[in-house]
Amino acid sequence: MKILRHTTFLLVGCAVLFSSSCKKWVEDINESPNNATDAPLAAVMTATLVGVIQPNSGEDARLAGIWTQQFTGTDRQYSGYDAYNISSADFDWDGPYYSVTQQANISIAKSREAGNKYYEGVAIVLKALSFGMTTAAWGDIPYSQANDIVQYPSPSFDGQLDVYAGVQDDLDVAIAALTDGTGGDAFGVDFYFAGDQDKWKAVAHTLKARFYMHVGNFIKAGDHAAQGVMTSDGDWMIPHGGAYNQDMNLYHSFLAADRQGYMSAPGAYLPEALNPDAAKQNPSWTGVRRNHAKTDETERFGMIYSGDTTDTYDLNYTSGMWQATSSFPVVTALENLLIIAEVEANKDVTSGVTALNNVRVELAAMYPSGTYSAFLGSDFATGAIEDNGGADEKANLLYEIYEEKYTSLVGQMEVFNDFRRLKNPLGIAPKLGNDFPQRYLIPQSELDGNTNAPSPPGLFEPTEVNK
Amino acid sequence: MLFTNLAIGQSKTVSGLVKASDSGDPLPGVAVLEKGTQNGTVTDFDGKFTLTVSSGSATLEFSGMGMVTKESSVGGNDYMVVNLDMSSDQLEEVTVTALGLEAKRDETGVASTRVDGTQLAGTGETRLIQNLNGKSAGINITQSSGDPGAGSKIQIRGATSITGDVQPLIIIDGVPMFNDSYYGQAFAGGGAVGSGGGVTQQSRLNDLNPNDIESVEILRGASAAAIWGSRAANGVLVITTKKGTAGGAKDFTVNISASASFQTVNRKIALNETYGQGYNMTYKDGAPAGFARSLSWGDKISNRSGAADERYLESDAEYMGYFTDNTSGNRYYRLIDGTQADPNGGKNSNTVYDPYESIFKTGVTWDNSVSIQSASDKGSVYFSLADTRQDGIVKNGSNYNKTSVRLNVFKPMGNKFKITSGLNYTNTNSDRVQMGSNLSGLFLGGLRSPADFDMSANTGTYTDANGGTFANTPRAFRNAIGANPGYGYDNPLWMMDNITSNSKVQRLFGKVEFGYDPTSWLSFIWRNGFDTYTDSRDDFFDPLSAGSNNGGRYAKEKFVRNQFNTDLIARGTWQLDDNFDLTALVGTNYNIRTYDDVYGDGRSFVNPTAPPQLLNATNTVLGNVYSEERTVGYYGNVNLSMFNQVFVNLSGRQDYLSTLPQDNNGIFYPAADVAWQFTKALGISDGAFSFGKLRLGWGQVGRGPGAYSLNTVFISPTANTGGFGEGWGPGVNPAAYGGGQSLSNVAGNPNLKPEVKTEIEIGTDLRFFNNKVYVSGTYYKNTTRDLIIQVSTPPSTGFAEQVVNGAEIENEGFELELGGDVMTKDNFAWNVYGTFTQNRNIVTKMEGVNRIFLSGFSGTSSSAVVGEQLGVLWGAKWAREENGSQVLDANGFPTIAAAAGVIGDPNPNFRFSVGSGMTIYKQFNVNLMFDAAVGGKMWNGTKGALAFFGKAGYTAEETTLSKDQADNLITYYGDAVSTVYPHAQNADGTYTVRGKIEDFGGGSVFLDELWYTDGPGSGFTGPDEQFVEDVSWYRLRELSVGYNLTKKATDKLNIQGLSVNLIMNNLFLITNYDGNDPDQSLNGAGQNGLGLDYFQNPSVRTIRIALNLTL
Repeated sequence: MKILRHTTFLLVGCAVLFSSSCKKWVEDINESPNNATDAPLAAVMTATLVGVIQPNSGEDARLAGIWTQQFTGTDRQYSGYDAYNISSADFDWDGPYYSVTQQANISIAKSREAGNKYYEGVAIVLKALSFGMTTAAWGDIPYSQANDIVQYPSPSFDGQLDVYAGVQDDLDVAIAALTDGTGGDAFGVDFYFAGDQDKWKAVAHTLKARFYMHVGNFIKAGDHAAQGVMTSDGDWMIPHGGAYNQDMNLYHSFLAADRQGYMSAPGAYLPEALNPDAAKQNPSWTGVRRNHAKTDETERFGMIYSGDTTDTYDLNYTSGMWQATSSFPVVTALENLLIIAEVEANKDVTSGVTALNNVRVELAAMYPSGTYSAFLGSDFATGAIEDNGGADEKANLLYEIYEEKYTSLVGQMEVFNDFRRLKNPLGIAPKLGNDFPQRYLIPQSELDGNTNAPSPPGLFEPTEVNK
Repeated sequence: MLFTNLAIGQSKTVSGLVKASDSGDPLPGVAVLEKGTQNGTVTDFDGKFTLTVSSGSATLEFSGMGMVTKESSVGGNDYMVVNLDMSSDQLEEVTVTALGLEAKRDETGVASTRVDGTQLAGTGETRLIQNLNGKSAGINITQSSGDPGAGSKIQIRGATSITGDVQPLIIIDGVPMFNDSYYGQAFAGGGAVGSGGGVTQQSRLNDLNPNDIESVEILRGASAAAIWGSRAANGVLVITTKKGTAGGAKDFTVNISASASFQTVNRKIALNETYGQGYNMTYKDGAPAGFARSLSWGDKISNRSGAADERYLESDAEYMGYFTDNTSGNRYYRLIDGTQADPNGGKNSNTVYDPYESIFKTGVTWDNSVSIQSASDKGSVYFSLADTRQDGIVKNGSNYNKTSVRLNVFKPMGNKFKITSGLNYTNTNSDRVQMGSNLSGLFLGGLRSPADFDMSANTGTYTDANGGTFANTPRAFRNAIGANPGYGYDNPLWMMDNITSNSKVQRLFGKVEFGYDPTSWLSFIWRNGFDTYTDSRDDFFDPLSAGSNNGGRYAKEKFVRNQFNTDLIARGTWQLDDNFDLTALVGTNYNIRTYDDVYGDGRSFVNPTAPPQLLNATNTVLGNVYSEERTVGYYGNVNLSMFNQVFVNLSGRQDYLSTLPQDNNGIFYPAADVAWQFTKALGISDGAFSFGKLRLGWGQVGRGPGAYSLNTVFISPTANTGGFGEGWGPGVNPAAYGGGQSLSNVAGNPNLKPEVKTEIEIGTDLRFFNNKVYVSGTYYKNTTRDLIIQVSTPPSTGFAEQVVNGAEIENEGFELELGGDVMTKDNFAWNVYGTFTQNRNIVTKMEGVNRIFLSGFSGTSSSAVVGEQLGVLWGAKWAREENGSQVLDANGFPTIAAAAGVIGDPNPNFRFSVGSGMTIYKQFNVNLMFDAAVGGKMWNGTKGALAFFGKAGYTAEETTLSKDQADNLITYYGDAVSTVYPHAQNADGTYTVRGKIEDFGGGSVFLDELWYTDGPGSGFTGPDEQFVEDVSWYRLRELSVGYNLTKKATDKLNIQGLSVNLIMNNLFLITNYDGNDPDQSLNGAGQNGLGLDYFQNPSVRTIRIALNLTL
């Protein structure tokens, strides 16, 4: 009887277990119905082109503006940033490494597959820009092992000079590809230059010049600037519509929509220098005036700032350059011409003044109601209108070039790069203590995840090229 | 001797009455046996018996089902009254296994706790989960906020996962049920989902009507839960709903209950009520935009004259027009700013406003329910209908309404077939109020409002300086005359009327079970369960809302969750011989779960007066997500009983998961436990030590990866996808630039394995004094290996996260439950009970990463860190020298460290509860329960932010300095106090300044406003470390007093019972925590982080009066 029971139970059990091969019910349903596993070149190329927007005009750019006293951190965390109270958790690298270089690598591979030299060149420029700006701000960074999670889950950090060298090589490859230009803007996705390979080439040369300046190689900087962006119609500008979280200018988004009051400009250096109303200037700021017989900055001041006294300065985001629809500069003729001016001025005053006057021609076109008359060498003599307290004409000229670049590139990260390279050339007093920040801090997310991350250098420790 | 002999020889008839000792009710069916003979009888329906015994020296043995057997000698009695004690053995006899089947508790080798439905219903707390607090050891519950219906996180024996779900599987009547807390895809709020903005969501377990619950069995260990394999890693809550029972003489019983509850804020945050709006100890009006005007570092309110306020006149350059309040008609102008010469400026009023008074009211909840039940040998029926209407403590826009219907039917069909079904429909409709890190949040605008700002005038007409008018404009402290609508924060009073968040849930769940018993020893169960719900959410922001929602925003989201589960079970029992019994079970399980979500998020309305309408938005993001997971499992269980004292239980489950790599998608989970009733071996069954059992359990359970984790995909990034946007809010969407796709920043992993938790537990169940006192203790240790973690990869790899099997986590703990009857007299019964839970968790391994973010902010978070308990607080620290002293700046103020680190552990060291119940004259009863969480830290982000604003209570401190001190003590930027606050000088030359003297090791310095706003003294500008606080709390969670009508009275009324109860919930709270009720977690039930406090809505205290009528 018992045997019968056992047998019955076992039979029933087996029937339950194996009556159907239920296992097939769990198969073939784990392919995501929501996302694709591949995307065409056109789509990834667009993402790469959009990817550079945030790293160049977002948090990193604002911080550059605050620490060079173009803007003032005025509320909550930004008050802290203003006084250099900042930690590694306040930084991130999602922008450069995820939205730019990761997507650029895919774009490069796909454009090579498709034989499209144009997109290949553009994608390499975007990538080079990203690495160059990241090494400028952070010093040693992952470069040769970056963006390869399978081989290098913890990419090691390359020396800053090695990164710059690699970036220069990449830009050479980009220039060669753009010179070829096969395929062009086949999918019509290049919303910056719409297929104009010469404009991208000029941008690549200006970037080479920019990064040679960073490492102090004036000769090569000058050579490449000569092939760079010479007029504003070749400016690389980020176009913006006004839709929030779509195509809104990121400064505007921060100032008007996301973080009202966090950043304005009370007590900042640049509005004080630009303010045309001498009566309203802060009397304690002497020797920082930009308006004189040959220069009227009223229009430019109004484009950048609102308010007219030291405690009411704010960024003009209602009618100026921080509007919701204002384009934002990435690489411009102004920068290129100012690189030439700096290189030339270091050679001799005459060619330096000529080069600076080319900048002023551009400015006069940009600000038609302003005044940017041509300088003469004598304007930089002791006691003349551009006596900036330097030892001689050359020093005064260089000061003016530095200040012009500081002003012309307002809101761009490059201002912070110059500021450190030239060791605070305008002699601005730090907000706290005696030192200015010399770098951005390695993001906490990198420190957490990267076992090869170095022990993080402090905020006031200069990067290799600025030592 | 002769006399004795006579007595022996003389038979005697004795009669009597047998009663239950606790209730005094007569006991029918009790066996009465003359000891040592076969002579006996049974008590009749009225508990009476008559028996002729051999002699007066005979001893009678009274034994009944569920009663402690009692002996009594007849002696000279003709009539005996015998009181029998209820056997606690019997009371606790039945436990419910993970499959929803009954088993004998004393024969199980695992720790589990049964919570009766009566302990969960009618406590004054409408949320079922919250009512589990303190009722079982080994369980830790944290609510997201005190909002009506807000979700809670349940955790059993510590966290067993890092980024996966840590909440237990919920089984209702043998069928798995959802307990989600989805934040959704659209997530409309003033902040991002990770940073705790928006509104708190519900926990879906709360959809169940507590009145329908017969019991909740909390199966804590892996061996108890192993039969659910890949879904049981966090333990199992097995809920059994009520079956129809017979109603005495009547055909059916009707139970009607009605109650009203009243809620108030149970704890307030200390605020500065001494100093007004402004900075530098001078008043500044909030009419113009400007950051410093939002601060409460203004003039001293008590120094104001109390006269009428003075405003800028139309002729003044500062004149900005005025605001006319819609309600009162009062006009508000820009008042004259204070200066150092005249710190109060035009603000002469010294009225101080309490934001709690302005924002909150007494919340009211109406709870009504009716149940009808009946049972006979032809089957049973249980029907219930319950309705809850909760109007929260926020003056408007916060409520929770729930209606549920249940029908449980049991129907035997002949001797061998039966059908059991249970159907539950629940309809939830809840308005949620904005909270947390969110410009529209209730407390962000509410607590940051200066003490001298009257927020009650919140909507009106702004008339500008030229006379132009703007009707229905909001007014808030950073927008004091309505000139800058949308600037800063929303006035909470305006927000609750104009920003709405609604969730409507329709849910149907239940089971249909078919049973077949072909023979006495074999049975089959075919059980089909389902759970389906639709959550339809509407988030609407008025076009005049603050920040990025200005211009209007409407997010509509609708998602459907479906679960179908079927089990086919065969079960056989054998008696092998007198000493060996065997029960064996085999089964197969198929489970499918889907999630289907459609959402639209539109901004910038064309017609600002249109009702919520996506087509009215000019900036729209649309999306849809679908996911499906399936599991097939085969399981078996063998139960061997030896000598009626050793019980061995072996089980195993083979699972196949759709979410695993197809060629390696199977996993086997074994488990074993053994129980030994050693008192039986010792021959003990009553007395001071009446029962003892040792148990030992071992088991493995697991968790599969989420759907679609194996591949890296291309996504359509949006503004808030890593890299295209940033934590501050700004971002661009490639869709606006022609449409782009990027490789996701989450790297897939084609080699994923399931997580496997292995647990061993050892415990004992002891009972004393004839089972009147019980103690149950368990030690356990579990290790979960191959944890699937979304590792934050270094961004330099091009990925933000990767899914890997790379971590290990351990829990070790001790659980104790004890209790007993202190007294069981006819007129007075008193019992006490207690629980104690200690769990030590440690993240032992995380491959390739040092830390994983769980929730919070990019700066301050709850994280997983190797060597620490899960959820440790991570944030910026003070810079320190190697000797521990702080690194100071040139002025002697401390500085912030370059790297963040662990700043506190939010997990409690232990939790305990103590409860007691008393019944007096069978009519009055009193029940109370204390519970406590001891140890653990919280990041008080609310306080850190309020310190910046000068609103934290402690920032109101002021110090009187001698002139010499004022000239020499420096403030943050190195300036002497006397130069920063010349206006603080008193007539006698001393200075009374807001702030305090502190010495960080570099000599005394003065901490004033600048320390908090510019220096590292606030949560925005300084290290998070300084706002980490001990969070231990002790509370009287429940106190109830009830009265039952006497039997006499109910008989007269021809009813079965009537009772009135007064119940108080959260009556008092003891904690040193300087904030809201600390039993909260910003990131709610849906995320694994804990220990973060950032402007959550407060918790409540409830007083409830309930009436219960049984017909």
